[in-house]
Amino acid sequence: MKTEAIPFESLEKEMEKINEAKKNPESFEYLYETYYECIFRFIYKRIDDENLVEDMTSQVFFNAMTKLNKYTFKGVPFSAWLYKIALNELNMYFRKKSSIRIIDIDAINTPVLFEDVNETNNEENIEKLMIAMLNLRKPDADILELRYFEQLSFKEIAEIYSITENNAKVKVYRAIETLKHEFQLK
Amino acid sequence: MKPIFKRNRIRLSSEEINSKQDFIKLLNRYKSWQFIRKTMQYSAGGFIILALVALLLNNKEKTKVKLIKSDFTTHPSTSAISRPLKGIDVPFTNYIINSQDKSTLYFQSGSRIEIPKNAFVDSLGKVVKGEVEIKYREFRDVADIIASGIPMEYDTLNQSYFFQSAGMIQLEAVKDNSKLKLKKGSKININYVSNYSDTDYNQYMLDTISGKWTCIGKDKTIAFENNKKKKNKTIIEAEIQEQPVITEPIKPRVAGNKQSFRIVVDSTEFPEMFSFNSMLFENDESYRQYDHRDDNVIWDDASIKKSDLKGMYFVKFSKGVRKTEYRAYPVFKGEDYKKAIKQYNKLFEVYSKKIAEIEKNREQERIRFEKIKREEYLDKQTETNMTAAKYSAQMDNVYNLTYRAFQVETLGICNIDKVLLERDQITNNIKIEFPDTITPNVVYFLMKGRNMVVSVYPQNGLYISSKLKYVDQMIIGITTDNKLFEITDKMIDSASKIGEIKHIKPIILNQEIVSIDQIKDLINGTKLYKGSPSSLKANIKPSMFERDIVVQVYDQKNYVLNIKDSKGKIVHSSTFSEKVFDYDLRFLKSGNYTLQISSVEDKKTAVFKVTKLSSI
Repeated sequence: MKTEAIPFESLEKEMEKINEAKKNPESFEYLYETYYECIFRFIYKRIDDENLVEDMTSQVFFNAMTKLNKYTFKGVPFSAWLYKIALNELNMYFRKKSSIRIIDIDAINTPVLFEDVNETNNEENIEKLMIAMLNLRKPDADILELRYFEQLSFKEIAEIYSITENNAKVKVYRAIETLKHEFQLK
Repeated sequence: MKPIFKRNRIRLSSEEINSKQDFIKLLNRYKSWQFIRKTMQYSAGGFIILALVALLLNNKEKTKVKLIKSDFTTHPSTSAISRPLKGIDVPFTNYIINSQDKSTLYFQSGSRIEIPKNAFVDSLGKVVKGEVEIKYREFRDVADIIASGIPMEYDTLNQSYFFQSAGMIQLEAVKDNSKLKLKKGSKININYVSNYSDTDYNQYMLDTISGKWTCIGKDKTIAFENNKKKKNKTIIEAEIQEQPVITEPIKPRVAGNKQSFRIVVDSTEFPEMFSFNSMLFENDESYRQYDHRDDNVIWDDASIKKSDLKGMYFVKFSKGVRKTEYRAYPVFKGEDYKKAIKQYNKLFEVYSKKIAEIEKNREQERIRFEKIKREEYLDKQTETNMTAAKYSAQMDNVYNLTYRAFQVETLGICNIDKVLLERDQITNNIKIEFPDTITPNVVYFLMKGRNMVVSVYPQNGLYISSKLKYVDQMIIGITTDNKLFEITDKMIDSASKIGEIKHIKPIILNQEIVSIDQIKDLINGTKLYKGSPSSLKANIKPSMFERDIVVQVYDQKNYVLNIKDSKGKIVHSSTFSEKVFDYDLRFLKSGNYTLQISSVEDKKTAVFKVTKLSSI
């Protein structure tokens, strides 16, 4: 799992770049280039259409640019805010288009997830995991994806959902508990 | 819809992903958005700063549409339209158009209207020419409807119904302070961006004197994404076509006494000259004095090239390595000069005609070019407006934007509605009595999600049905001294017996009402009772998890959160000391609740209404 500690220097530099971009939109390029790939991958794990993913990624950065003045630094990488926008875009898309969301099972950090649900990481359990995930409520599945797909810290998840870090932990653990329960039913 | 699992998907490399980056495109899109945003913003004084279209068309003389200002002193009250709050109304957006041209107007909401040319007549029925002021406003939600004072009751077959509105607009045209009418046969197309996409709405026009609505037909819904005009016009098509090069003939000169030389000229190469054998080239001494050492040289080669000066040529001679150059002009002697002048006059006449023709073509091309550029601009603007409106809607969590397309053949107030409730279904069996301290002027029964406003003037007592159980319902009112109040569901629920007289104490919002936003805040529950001096500054919003509520306070203190059901019974109590607190609502049954946050230290409280729609 990704370390919770984020080097202060990189955050400080990022904050400088954000402040620059607030004054001059052309400076947003640094943030765009830095996070384009991770936002693209984030969406690509959930949508099976490369062109659509490209459009949506572009929309995420456009939304970020238009709302940048409202962005406040909360001690987590800028990407957390972008994930939040991306998640909004995805939710909106699935709600509006009634499209089918995909879960890229290969992208899950299964060893850690199985460790957390006290199960063995093997092919049989991966099959069971798929069925269990299907039975989860969307918010639970979303938060597990953030934790185990994106390997985000609790602090970053908290930022995405506008909740406290403790609440983020509680939500993740609740989702894991539900997943465990689903596992036991299989 | 359940997700599906995918395994062994194509793995994209970093290079493949990053090759899709296009920051320039993003930046351009942002700049367009920023420009539209800035031009659409209201300034503090209520005026829109920029003459949007005039600026963008980049041609002051040709400007056909000009956004002038947003008008806050709006529709005069009539016997049918009576604004309940003094000085508060839905503002008009005003454009100046040239009535002799077709105009397309764009609005902040994303809506647009298309006005045909020569569409307006004055009170004598005479077609109006020149500039006309177009006043347009939209009533997008229940707060706008309340503020406007427009009646939403529809009488038909001796029965009174209330409208739920998918969109209501008012469109007026004014010239020299006189209201204009739409010419018979002229139709204005309106593409209204609506949050309601159902197709079972009708189109109604209001008689502002009698207050009667007349059904005039149905509108058409158009999916938001598909409304873009798709045109294949390109800049290439629009570029001014290359015109043939016409050379002005040179007026012949009479040969003087300066040094001259004879050169045979190819008239196809120099059509401005005359291929007379007697034509000489006379040296321009201002460029170079003639060198008499050149007199007896038999040159191997000679060439002529136009100089920058009209009618002047560079004449080059060469023999082996020796070269010389003069600047010279053609001259004629004797009878040849007369012939040359005669020919010149003929050529010049032809030349003048051709030039006039070219100028005419060029002007036509320029007009065509500007028209295409303008159409391209308008298309782009439509797209940008739609993007901005979509974005804005996304921010407001509105997902079902639709264009509702309709035509009006008369100016005034037009409503896209369907009837929902009869008056008897709302004002029926329970008499509500107010305390002596509150004199209600008007009471509104609202259904927020359906854009429905039922106005009740309780001079002879307020009667409410005990059967009101709509999830999105709300009852608010305005006192005779311009204050907003709310009658909560709890007050109604407890009065269940038919014929019972219920004495209630409405909750008064202790603020002077100075803007529509305050009505919106009350209705949306975002700043309810915040103005109370003892209140606590707090806010709530649904979390991204549908089952949670995020409570936000602004001071780091200890707080108590109490949740009461519609009967006032505390169903949950907890403490927290963080500025942002996430509360899980899963255990609550569906229904209406009051969420009360109190600070332990100074006993200040904030109260919010929460509706849980279903058990999750």
